[in-house]
Amino acid sequence: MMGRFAFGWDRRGAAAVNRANVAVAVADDARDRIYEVAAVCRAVGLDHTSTLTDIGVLLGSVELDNLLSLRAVPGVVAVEVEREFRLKQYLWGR
Amino acid sequence: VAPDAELYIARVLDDRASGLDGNVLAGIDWAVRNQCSVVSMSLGSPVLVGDPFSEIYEQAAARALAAGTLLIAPAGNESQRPDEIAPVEHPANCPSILAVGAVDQQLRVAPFSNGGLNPGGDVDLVAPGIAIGSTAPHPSLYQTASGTSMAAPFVAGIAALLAEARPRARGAALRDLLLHSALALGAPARDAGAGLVQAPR
Repeated sequence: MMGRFAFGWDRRGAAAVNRANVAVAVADDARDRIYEVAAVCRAVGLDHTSTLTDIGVLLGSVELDNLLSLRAVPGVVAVEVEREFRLKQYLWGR
Repeated sequence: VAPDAELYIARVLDDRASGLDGNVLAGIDWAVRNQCSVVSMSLGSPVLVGDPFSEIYEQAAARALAAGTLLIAPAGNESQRPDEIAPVEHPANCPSILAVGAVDQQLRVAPFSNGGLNPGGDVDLVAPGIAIGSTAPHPSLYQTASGTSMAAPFVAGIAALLAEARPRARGAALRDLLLHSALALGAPARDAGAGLVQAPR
């Protein structure tokens, strides 16, 4: 359900050790009402920042205590805590 | 590789070449919305043996495939062959994302190239990934670099060539064309998948 890397920072950069940035996947059969699903997610604590309609994903942040409530929203099929990426260059080859 | 391809560039990493999931997912969404046939994303995050793939990325990639957009990502550079093989990293470990490993000029699997150790997290193809000419920040402008990040764009470019040659081949059909036309190398599928990517003749 969640990635391995929880971050203690929200999207605004403020220290908030009990919050995590999350991505929320919306089920295929709920994609045509993704904005309704987003509204319910906000009601259970999602600080909703983006709606990615073409891939059916919501972005935002949530208090860690509300992760399970977010996952239980009808139409939500997965909630994952955001993780960091890097360009994959093998440095000894430079 | 594909000089006639139309390029759409989405910046999802910062000046230190790092970034967060939300930016990458937003970039994928933007590419799908713009009907890009191929997405080359040379980025990743290491995983451990036994880690599951991301349900979010798998769903995003499957929806992208269904919409005609093929996602291509590097297998990762955490291996130290022959002693240690690391698993294909996130998000290339998603079944619906094409994972690309690296080979050297003699078509040997690169010592750093990750392998298919986790369920769903297979290497799909390999491409050249050692001492590849690339652009660089000022003042050098050009450099050679190594990594599966250098290999993945070869596959993306060849996917673009195939897409030009076969206008109806998009999404899963384009992926299958790439896999079925690969040159088997004799290396284990764990390390090289279907083999070396092949440009259309």
